[in-house]
Amino acid sequence: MYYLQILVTITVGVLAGIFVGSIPGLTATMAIALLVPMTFYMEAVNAISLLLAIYVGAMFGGSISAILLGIPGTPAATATRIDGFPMSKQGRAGEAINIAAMASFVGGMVSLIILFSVARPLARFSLNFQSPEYFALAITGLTLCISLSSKNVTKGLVTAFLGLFLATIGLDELVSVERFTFGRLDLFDGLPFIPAMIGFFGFAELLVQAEQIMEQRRVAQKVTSVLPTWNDFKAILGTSIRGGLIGTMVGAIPGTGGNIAAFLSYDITRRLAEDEEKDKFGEGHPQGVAAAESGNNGVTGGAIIPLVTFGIPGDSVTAVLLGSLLIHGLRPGKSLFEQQSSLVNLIFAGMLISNILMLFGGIFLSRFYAKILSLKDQYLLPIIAVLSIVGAYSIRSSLFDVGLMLACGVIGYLLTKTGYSTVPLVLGIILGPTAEMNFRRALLVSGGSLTIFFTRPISLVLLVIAIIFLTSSIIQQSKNSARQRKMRNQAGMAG
Amino acid sequence: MKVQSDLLFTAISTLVLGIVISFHASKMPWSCSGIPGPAVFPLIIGVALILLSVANIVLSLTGRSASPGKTSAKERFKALWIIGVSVAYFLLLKPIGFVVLTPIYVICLIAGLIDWVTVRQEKVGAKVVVEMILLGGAVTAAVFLVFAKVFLVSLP
Repeated sequence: MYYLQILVTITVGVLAGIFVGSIPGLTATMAIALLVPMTFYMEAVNAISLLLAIYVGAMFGGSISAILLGIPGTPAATATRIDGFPMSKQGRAGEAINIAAMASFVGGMVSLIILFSVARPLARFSLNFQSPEYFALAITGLTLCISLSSKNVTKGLVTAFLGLFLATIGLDELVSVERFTFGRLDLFDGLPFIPAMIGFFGFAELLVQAEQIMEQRRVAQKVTSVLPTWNDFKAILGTSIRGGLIGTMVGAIPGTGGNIAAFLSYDITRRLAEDEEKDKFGEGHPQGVAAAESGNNGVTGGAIIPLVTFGIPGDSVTAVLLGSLLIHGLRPGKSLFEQQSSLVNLIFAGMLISNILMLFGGIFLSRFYAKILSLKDQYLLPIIAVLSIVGAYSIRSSLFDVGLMLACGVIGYLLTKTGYSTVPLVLGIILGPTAEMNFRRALLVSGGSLTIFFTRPISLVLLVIAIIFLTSSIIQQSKNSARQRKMRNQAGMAG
Repeated sequence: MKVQSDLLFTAISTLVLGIVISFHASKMPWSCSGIPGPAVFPLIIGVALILLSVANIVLSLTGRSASPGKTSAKERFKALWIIGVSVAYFLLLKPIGFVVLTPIYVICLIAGLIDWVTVRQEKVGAKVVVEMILLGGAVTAAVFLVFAKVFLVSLP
């Protein structure tokens, strides 16, 4: 009965994930942020399995609208559109969706195998980490996120510091001093993370989407259901395994995500293709769809590696997942694998089942999803608004949390509109307490000397990585800016 | 060079926030019985925000920072409509209650998002109004069922 309950939960999660992922504008992060409050009332295994199932489903779901509408359902499916949409226009929509489902399955399985093999040794390695290392790890994670997710480093740094500031709100854990609570009891335990996250990822996205609302009903290409054959599977297997490996590696680096993995996998596959095949990419090549989809689903396992071993989320989805783990009293690291070993195994098994269900859901339900795509944005967005408000309220039955969610939503919207990414902000809120606590503990041990961060090898290596990434991003930004200025000047002279 | 006012506004807002954080942090203890005090981290954050915001202001004024794209007044209205209606919903939720207010909230949101000119041209006004009312009722019922009955959350 217990396992049946988990199976039902995972099935619901995968289907919901595919549904949300397939709707343009609704991302996996938004789906998970909106559903986290519901998981608050579930057992830990059910809750985490549901969220991971949504993650796996949504990563694939994005490909459906990329193939049928030519509009990627999620940013991660942008590369899938390159060959998926031409295939669909040629009347091969069913075939393209089958390829996307099979490649997503292989990519997901490859990443799961790697996650399963490296997570425990890495968690054991985390025993070598003490305060200076944890501080350095948090800072490196944040820096990588800024460098890789923000086009503009100074803006990325601003949002990361905003996140770190929000994390300082509440009673100071070491000396019980009130910080930035303005006397409000609701803030004594710190900024309520889930309402803030629903605001930044759910409500803010909803506002951005409202501006880009489609006036016309979307017209999806027709899907003729065809069952894939063993030969179809064999033809994309090599590409998909490679995509899965690329996705896992990219996913494990904080701040990256499915978009980068899919493009990298697509680009490598195209480069490796024979000359006469190369020209077919972009015109409906099945290997293009396979490369992109295996790449973005490979991220699912990869992003979980730093999450469960060091408590550092790989992307915005896993940042939300970390919040959910903490709500259920699960602290990532070695103790999670030792004390909650059966729970970890169940979660990994849940991911395996999610991938299998996604494969079948993708192949057999493609006609049904084509119908969903005709849903009007005008009807969909109000549902998201109600879920955001009720979700924020339900955690503590607090209207204050609703107000906070709305405020975070509006701030997130304003930041997005002016080119600031909210991902470093949320990562800052998550990693802030780890960074601060370990910074202060390390200074306590060293008697106030900052040299402790540079005399311990792991901490030094991590900080050097952070400095290299940050410096190279700043150099890149100033080069881009100079190039743009030059182009503008030339255009001005020509005019 | 045309200065982008929205970029400047965000940069000035973060600058003011940086100053406020630094000011409040400077009144907190620096050290408590040998432990680095609660002021240290916020002060670093405040100063960093000030410096970065100044950099962003300079970049905006010199045109070296760009906004992701222009939004038309019609598009911006939709976002502002959702914000306005949602704030009103938040303020009225306690006095009026979830079951009565939510259908009205959903209907108001849809009404603001729909392009009524097209609806009138296609003569589907009555159908759209029925759909709005049905959706408002269905969303309220579904959310109430899941949260109040399954998860036992006491909705206002």
